Amino acid sequence: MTTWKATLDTVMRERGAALFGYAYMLTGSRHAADDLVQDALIRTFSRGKAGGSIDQAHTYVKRAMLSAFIDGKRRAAVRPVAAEKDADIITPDASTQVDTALALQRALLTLPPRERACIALRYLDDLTVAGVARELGLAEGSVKRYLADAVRKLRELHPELGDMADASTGGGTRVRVISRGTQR
Amino acid sequence: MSEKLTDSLAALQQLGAADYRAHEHNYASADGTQIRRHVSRKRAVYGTGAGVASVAAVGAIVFAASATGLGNRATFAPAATSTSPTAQADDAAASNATPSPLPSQRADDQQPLGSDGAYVGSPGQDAESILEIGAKGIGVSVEKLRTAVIAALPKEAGGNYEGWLSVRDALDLSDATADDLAHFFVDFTIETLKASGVAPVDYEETLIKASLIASELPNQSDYPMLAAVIDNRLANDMKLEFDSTVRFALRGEAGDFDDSPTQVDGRYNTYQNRGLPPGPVGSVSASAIDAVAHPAKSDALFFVTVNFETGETKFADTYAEQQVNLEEYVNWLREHPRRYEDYTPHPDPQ
Repeated sequence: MTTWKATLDTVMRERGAALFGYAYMLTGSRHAADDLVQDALIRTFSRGKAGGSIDQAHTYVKRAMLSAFIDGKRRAAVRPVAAEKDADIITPDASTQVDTALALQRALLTLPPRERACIALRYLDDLTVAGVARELGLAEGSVKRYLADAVRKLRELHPELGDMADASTGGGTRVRVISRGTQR
Repeated sequence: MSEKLTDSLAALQQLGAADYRAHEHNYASADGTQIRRHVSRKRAVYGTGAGVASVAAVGAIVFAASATGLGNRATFAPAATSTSPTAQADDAAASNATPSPLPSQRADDQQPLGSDGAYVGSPGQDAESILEIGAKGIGVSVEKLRTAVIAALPKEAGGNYEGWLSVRDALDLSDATADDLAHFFVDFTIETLKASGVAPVDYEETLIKASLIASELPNQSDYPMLAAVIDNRLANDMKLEFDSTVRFALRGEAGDFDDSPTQVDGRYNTYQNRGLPPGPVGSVSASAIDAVAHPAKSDALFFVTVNFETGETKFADTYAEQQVNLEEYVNWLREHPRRYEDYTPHPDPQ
């Protein structure tokens, strides 16, 4: 009856950093990331579907973050934008990899949420187009279009990314963090 | 070079994770409490738990809200507007035709008694609150009234006055002594038990059930059905899982109901313990006692109040049916978002 509590505690303790990191990657803002994780945790555990393993719960929370991110952005679009947005970006110690990442982050943050979510699932979670489509509840054709648009924009700002021809064909080669096949 | 993109995304995630750790930002600690609380509340509302768990929360919310809603209103008022024990014993059946309004609305119909408009006690309230209100009403100390009440108890009560403080038509408090008020409370309970044909050996058990009913449901017309639910769940060796019992276990303590309704320790918590709680969880009304004495003929095991405005409560024999009812309830909540806040017994401090 209260297994959700134990699961929630474990997820918060052991996966908090990972979830926050993922949310930060999506939003590019600490505050937004924090909100995203907390809302997703609440949403996920309120409906009793996180009774399974920690990995399953992690997956659910991640999925809730992605859909909230997309929906939230849609809603936030009509609201005034927070002024502190830039100040909220994390500025870490410099290193080459981080520098590249930060340079890319600016480009990423220009992408609309759906494209950003597709990029994250395709390139960070290494899902195939079909996997991305399933996670986001989109048609594969739409995912391909979002990916193509996103890649085009990213390459405009960062030609060093190469042709990224694998946008719609690659993926699925690494161990996945989001599990496929678990349906709502 | 998609690796570059992948690496950068991973680096951004790492960056976030590192920042999370560096700032001792921890969902398992301070924020975690908040998150858990939100989840608990939503689970109670959406009824994802199981069976009566969520359901019980509904009744309890309604009642708790109605009790607080009364504020400083006057007089000791029974739930029903009838004035004689005999009439009250029948009113559960009588009110089947026209469901009574919520207790808070009912109170508005009451004639306030006592010149300065004393205080209201209502069925389901715990004895301590009633003692407090009563003591204030007649201007004596709570301890004095408590002693008088214990002296007025029948031996069946075993010295536990919880549940024995019923309130009927108001007592004129202007000249009342502590003994008068104590007898007013206790004698009426005994009268009602007798009027409903309850044998003395069954007094305590009847009051326990009646107190659960009075604490869970807004409409007296539903009382006999809930009495049947209690009997059926006990007969099926199911835990009662009534939130009213958890609230009672928590009374007077800083415990957080929302945090862990099922985790609250105590013999009264019917999430943890099988069978009835060891004693009544609040005051009763005549109709609640009568409902226990004459439960409806039903196989129902579940119930949920689907509309807080009318207090309409639906009963179900199976968990599947209950799910349908819960959905109706959730839909009602969605359409009345503010009403839910109105009924939240423990408003969030934030």
